[in-house]
Amino acid sequence: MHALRVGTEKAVGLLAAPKWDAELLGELTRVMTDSSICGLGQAAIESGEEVLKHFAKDVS
Amino acid sequence: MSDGSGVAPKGVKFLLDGVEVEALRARRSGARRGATRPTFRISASRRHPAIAPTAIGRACMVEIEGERVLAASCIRQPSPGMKVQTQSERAVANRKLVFELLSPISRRARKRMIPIPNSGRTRRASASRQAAFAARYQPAPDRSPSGDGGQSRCLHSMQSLRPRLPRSAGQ
Repeated sequence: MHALRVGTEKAVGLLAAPKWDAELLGELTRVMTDSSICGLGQAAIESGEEVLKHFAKDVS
Repeated sequence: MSDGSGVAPKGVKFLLDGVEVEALRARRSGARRGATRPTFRISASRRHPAIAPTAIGRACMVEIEGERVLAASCIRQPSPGMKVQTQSERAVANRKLVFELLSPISRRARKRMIPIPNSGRTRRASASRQAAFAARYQPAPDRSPSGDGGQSRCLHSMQSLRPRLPRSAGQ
């Protein structure tokens, strides 16, 4: 499995929802950060994490 | 074991879940294989088309003290004094989610999937979590010629590139 390839597809699905599932997104962030082979995979989901951190009221 | 010169080859001693184990230098053994007793079994999962033994399966991730990210134990060579944790909360959670992510892989690849013995609990996500994923995510149709979501091409790519790639700290 490519954590990047599968994880980003999952992330897109989760981020497209009007209300984000913060718990699931957090777990996905951790597995992508820890398991991705490349730097892109490790950083790809950081933007979503930052949005949750700073604009949590707007997405959940 | 002897290498023919009459001198027993020295192994690499490292800590695996707090137990000192020794891996033979002669073997291309990963950090997990140095154990005298297995701490977790994933060998059967290698049959899954998406978890080929090329270090991209990410189903054997272990935590190594002092490293930022987890390491794939199938290819990671042990070094003297290395402290490997296979059952840490972080490593266990990671492996569990890796298997969970594998679940909705293409239908054709799923048909070829061989059941993983004694691992139903880790591979099968709970119904509520699967529903949460399914409600938000519809996988794109698999248009790859091989019908495995392009895994074989990815594997080929990784195998051809890996010898040229510099070894990073996380590999």
